[in-house]
Formats: sequence, C-alpha cells, structure tokens
Amino acid sequence: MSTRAGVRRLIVVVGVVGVLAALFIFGILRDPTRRDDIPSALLDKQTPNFSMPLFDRYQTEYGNAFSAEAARGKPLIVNFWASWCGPCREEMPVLEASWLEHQNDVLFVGINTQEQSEADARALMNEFSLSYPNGVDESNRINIDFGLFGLPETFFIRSDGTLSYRHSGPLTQEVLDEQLQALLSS
Amino acid sequence: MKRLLLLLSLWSFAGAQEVQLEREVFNIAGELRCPVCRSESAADSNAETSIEFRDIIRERLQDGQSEAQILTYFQRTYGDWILLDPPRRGLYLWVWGLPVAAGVLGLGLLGYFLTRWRKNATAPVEASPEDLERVRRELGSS
Repeated sequence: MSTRAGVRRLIVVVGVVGVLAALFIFGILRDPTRRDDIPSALLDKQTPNFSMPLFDRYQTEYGNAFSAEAARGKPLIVNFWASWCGPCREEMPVLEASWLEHQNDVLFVGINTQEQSEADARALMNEFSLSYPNGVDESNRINIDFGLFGLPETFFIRSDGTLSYRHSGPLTQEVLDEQLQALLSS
Repeated sequence: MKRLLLLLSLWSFAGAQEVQLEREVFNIAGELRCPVCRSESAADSNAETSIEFRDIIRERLQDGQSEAQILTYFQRTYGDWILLDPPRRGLYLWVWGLPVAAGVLGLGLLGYFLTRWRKNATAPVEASPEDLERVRRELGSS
C-alpha cells in the first residue's frame, strides 16, 4: 500500500470516529430534562379557550371566574405557577412590576396548577402582593391543553388569541420586556 | 337462582369491559412520552401529568374516540415530541431509514472486504528471480 493511500484511509477513519465521538459527547452532556429548546406546538396558532375560578381576593374586581374567550381583544400573558416551584418565586416580582406598568395595554393572568397546598398558594400571592388576577387549574387540564413541560411557563398571547411566544423557566426582566414589546406591536 | 346467575353474568361482563378499557388506556399511554419525566412513557410514570394523561385517554375512549384521534389531541398541544415513536414522515424518516441504511452499508462493506480477501488468498504468489535464486541457494546449502 502506498503512503498516500494510507494517509487517505487514516483521514477517513479519524473523520468517522470523530463524528461518532462528537455525537456520543453531545448525548452524554445534554440535559435530558431540558425542555426549553422544544418549540411550543401552539406557536402562531389559536390558544385554548380556558376558563377557571379565580382566587377570592380577585373576585371583587374580576368576577368569580376568568374566561380566556371573554378576554380576547387584548394581549394576554398567561403565567403557570405552583407554590412548591422555586423558580416561580423568582419571576413573581418581575411579573407584578410589569403588570403595574402595562395593565392598561395588556392583561396578565396567573394560573396555579399542579398545586399541593392551596394555603401555600394563597401565602405566596400575599407574599408578593400579586395584583393581577390568579386562578386555579383545578383538574390540571388547562396545563395539558397548553402543552406544559414544567413550571414555570409563560405564554404571550396576541389579542386575536394566537400564541406569540412561550417561555419555559423563570422570566427575566429582559425577556419579559422584549416579548411584551413584540406583543404590543403585533 | 336464575336472577343470581343473570346478575353474576352481568357483573363479569362489566368487569371484562373494564379490563379491556384499561388495557387500551395503557397501550395508548405507552405511545406517549411523560412530559415531566426522564425517558418514561405516560403509561409507566406516576407523575401527576401522566395520571391526568391516562384519565384524558380513558374519557376520550369512553366518548368513542379512536386511538388516532386521541394521539392527535396530544400531538396538537405538545407537538410530535410527545410521541415515543417518531412519525414516519418528513425529517423523521431519517430516524427510521438510517439504521436500515447503516445495516445495508455494513453488509456491503463486509461483502466487499471478504471478496477482496478471498481473491488475494487464491492469487498466485509471484517471486522475483532474485528470490528464487536465494531459495535455491538456501536449499542447496542444507
């Protein structure tokens, strides 16, 4: 065998082994619980028409129940949370501050889902003085209709009911501002 | 006595239907990924979401929906990701086609190398005059 043929064969072997090793390392290092890189199947499609009972502290202002269908015509930000979810706590002050600033242009609604303690849920709303309406996903069906992977998740819904963006994990001020502007300009 | 037999028959019929329904629920849930678990199907997982998945499947089966209709419901909200077996269309065809292609390629390479090896093994050995002279010399000196 000539030296040139040997070098060519070596390059092929190294190339194939390199590609396989890269795939192997990718598989090992990738977090199998990571879901934020999976796009929502509802993107640019109509979001579910859900309704849910509101916590009593919001009933004087918003009525006994919240209906997504009745809220059409205004952009809507839907935030799913639970009291046992640590990252949900992180984003609550960000959501509340943004709601106070933009409540004339956009509606925020919190959905308490997969909850284990209603008392803890109430305590959390008190702790962060959440003034945007929050209700309960009693049968956990709303979260399945939205295709939830985990908590927290936030859905940015245009005034026509179509989904503009879904955020998985705690919201930062930057992401919220950016997506809010996209929502208001759409 | 007749009444008792009738009641027993009805009771066992209802039981058999229940078992059949649960089997169908389990089979369909087995095709769906548990969205909050690591590599577990909605049939195997006891996460709250998976239990809810099974309840939805049961309700829809009782409403007369087919397996395909139920899977489409989950696909519509979670996307193709929710199916443990990727659909046989579009880019997903790679997932189904690559193992077959790799097998065919492997067999082809094996055949090629075996043929080459056999050809080399049966080919006459060519010796140069110098080599022959050396062999004669070695044999003559022994």
